[in-house]
Amino acid sequence: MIARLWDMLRALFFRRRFEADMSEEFRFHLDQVTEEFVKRGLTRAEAERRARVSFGSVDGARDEAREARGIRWADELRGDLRYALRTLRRSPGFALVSVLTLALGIGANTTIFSVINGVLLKPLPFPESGRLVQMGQDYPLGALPIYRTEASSFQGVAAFLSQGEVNLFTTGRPERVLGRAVSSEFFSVLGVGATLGRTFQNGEDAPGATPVAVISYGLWVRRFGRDPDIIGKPIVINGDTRQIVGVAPRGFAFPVAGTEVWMPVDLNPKNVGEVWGAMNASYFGRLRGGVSLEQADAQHRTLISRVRDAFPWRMPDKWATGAGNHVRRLDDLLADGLRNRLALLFGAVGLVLLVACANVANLNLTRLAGRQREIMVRQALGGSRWRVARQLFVEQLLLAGLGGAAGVTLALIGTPLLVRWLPSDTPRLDGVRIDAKVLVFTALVSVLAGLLAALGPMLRVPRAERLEGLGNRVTGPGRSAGRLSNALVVAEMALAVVLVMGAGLLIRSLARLLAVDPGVRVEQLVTARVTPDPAKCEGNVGPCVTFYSSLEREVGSIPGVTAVEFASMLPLDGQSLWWPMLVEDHPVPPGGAANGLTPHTVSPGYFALMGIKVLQGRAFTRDDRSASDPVVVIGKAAADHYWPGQSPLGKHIRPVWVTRDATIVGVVSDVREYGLSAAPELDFYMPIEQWAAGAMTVVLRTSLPAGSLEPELKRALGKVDPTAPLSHVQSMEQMVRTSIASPRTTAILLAGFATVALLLGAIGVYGVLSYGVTQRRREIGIRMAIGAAPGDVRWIVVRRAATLVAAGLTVGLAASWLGASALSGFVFGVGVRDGATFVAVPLVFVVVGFVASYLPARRATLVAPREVLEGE
Amino acid sequence: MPKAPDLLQGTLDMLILKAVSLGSTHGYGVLLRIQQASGDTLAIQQGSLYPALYRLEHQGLITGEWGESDNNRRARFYQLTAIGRRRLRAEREEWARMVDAIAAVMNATAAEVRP
Repeated sequence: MIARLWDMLRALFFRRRFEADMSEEFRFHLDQVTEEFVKRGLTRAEAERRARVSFGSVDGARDEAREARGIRWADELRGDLRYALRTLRRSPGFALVSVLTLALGIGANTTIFSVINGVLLKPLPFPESGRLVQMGQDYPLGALPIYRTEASSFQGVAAFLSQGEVNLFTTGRPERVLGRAVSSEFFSVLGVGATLGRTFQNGEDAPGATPVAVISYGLWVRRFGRDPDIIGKPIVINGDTRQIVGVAPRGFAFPVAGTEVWMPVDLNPKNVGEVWGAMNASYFGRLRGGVSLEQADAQHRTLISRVRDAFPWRMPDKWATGAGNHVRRLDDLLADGLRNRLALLFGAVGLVLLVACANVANLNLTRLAGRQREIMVRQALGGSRWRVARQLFVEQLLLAGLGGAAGVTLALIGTPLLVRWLPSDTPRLDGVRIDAKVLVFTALVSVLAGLLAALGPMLRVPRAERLEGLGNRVTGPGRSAGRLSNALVVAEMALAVVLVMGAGLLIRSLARLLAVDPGVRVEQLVTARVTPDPAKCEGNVGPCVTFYSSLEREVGSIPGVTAVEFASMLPLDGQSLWWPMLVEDHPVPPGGAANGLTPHTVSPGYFALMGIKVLQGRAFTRDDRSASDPVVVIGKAAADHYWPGQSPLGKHIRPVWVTRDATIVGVVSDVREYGLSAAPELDFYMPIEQWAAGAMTVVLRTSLPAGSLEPELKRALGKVDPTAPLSHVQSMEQMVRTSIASPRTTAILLAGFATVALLLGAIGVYGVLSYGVTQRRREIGIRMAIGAAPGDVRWIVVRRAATLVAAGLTVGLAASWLGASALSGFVFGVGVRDGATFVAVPLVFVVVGFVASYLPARRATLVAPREVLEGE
Repeated sequence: MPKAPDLLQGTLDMLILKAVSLGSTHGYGVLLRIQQASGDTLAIQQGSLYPALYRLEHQGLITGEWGESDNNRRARFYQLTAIGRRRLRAEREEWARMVDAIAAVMNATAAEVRP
């Protein structure tokens, strides 16, 4: 079998050689026969003639020989292709519309697939990445020694802190960059070495080790000009001077794209707060060979109970037993939250492609009607029905091929645009490109599209028996072709309805989301993150307070800034924090789940500036100082949760590791911490002078745009502390927009695809109506001759449009109703069978139907009865 | 394009395999061998000889190599492959059975076929 295929391929690819060999072999034969005849006494000329006669048809023999080699189909295909090219060149309008239509469908599919391929399908860029797994939730850093000694299912386990930004101070300029504190086995578990120097060694995360760092290839180029002697040079990270020991390979960025520097965590067991106080380390590992995910997961479950017991204080018995706490493949985990969105978009572009195919199929049917004569002539000349159908199919494939090529071109433009436009925290976006796999996908899709577009028309190739048409005037594709064409338009409409319904629902959800009150004012507020080096603020209220009050003065003197306040965390800024708390009246039994609240440190005027209302008691004042008794303000949700129907004023709360109680002095309105669609958290606020948080966000009231303020802000901060970087300068409005980037992107993409489908559908309706008018010119002419008014004639066309649209709507709405649950994870504030959408979308289609029928209807009224009748 | 079924096609293949099995030869040689061996009774259509040769080669039963003919010209010489040899044996047995069967029918007497 393989030998035969090889033989065929050789004949195909070395075609000239094959033909030359065959000619030579035949000539040899003829010469031998000729010689034989000459020997028998014939003249050479006569001998040659006789030889040729005895051989029979040389061309026939050649043809059969080619067929014997299995390459005749290639010749026929070439003929078909040449013929198809000629035909298409003769109807460039048809070709152009078909190719463009298919290109839209194929291009959209290629673009979405390239993202799916890069983000979901490609293996992670690490050796044997299939064995890389991540623990399903974060634990304290203190768990690391237990993983190191007891996780026998793993070749190695590494940890990285969730905090992903660091201060970088090089060449006298502070900068906030993506950087990670990681355990010493971070690189070795991933299987990544250094391009220059080395990665971390065991023990470099132990107390007292020399401070070291690995920098990214990008940082090496950007800040160090590819210095070949970089190894051993110092770098200041978060105020600590470290020695650069290595440069990571080009393109390496883990755990998030854009990470530029890595340093070992500080595993000092004496530092209980840091090692055990926060659930802020992610753990990943490499499975030992032969160990399954299930085995590793089972071991991890027993191991995590050991971690729970290792805490310096008693943890809730149910700690880390939640449903999400499983060992999962790393690539799998990274794709969470993205998989469904991409699946939805993929489904949508699939529908768009179907609409495109239906459209081209319809164009074909119409054109086929015009080619009836040609086809009949071909059949009369001996072309079999199959052969004619194949010719049509080759034409379609050619169109689909051109459409595919144009589609790839569209995707080459569209993919980078889409990547830039997708939320920047989308994981693995750097792996998205049009590669061989994507091209294979495109080729398959193109062939499929060609098949679909050709299938209907191919079935409509008339049978050879019906050759009587040849002598007659050909009038049209006949009733059944008309039915098929109607069915195609109805299908197109129905598909478009489904897409528009989906887009409508998502847009309504988005509107609902935007209508959610974030709980704070968003207008005329500019925010920026201020992150002094930890040593300057941490555990040291005095200097920290001085720092922020100096900054307040400097920033306040910037022209155009009318108010300056500070907060450790702003609503929707992407930060999250949770503290275990002791709450008065709510004692926790040993082993029970802790009371938890979300902490904020704010300056006195923060509530007023942000429009957060004081509901009970008071806000902070300048008198809430470190010397006075600790006070806190809590959010309404927290008040309702712990003291429903009671006043929380005067009650006490405190973080579990703190000894002094804080008194609740006020209750404020709730804010949306973690997203507009998320319920308010249980918040509590501490005054800046009593609980200094190292990093704060400065909030300004100003009518100036964030961009123009940035240099001024940097200058102001530089005066207070030249090593402190300023980052995330943006308006509060931008912050809100960023927080809904992902539903917004999905809604807009879906709306775009729906619009394309709607347009194609409209073109489909227009095409069928328009052709109908041409076809029924005679009828219309006669009607007009016997007194039909233009309105009656228009009605003929509009009625057909109405029937098509109504049928499409019925099918599409039914499909939307049945398939509505597919959208359940994507809507907010509206049902998936939202009544308003189900009313509004049909209206859109009615309008589209009228628009599509306007021109054909007008053309119908312009039919001149006399001409038509005389033309007979 | 559909072709009228050639009843002798199978037989032609067998004859060619046999002719080639007698020693490497070119297409013309195959033709001559069959003619001579049959005492000029079987005249092979020259036009169908080459398609048959190409088909057999495509099936891996024979292989063609360029070589030099008696009169010092380049010619393609065919040779039987191992698969070809096996096929020839099988065809020969099949043929013998067929001949026997037909002979048996042709020599049958009325007594033998009475039920």
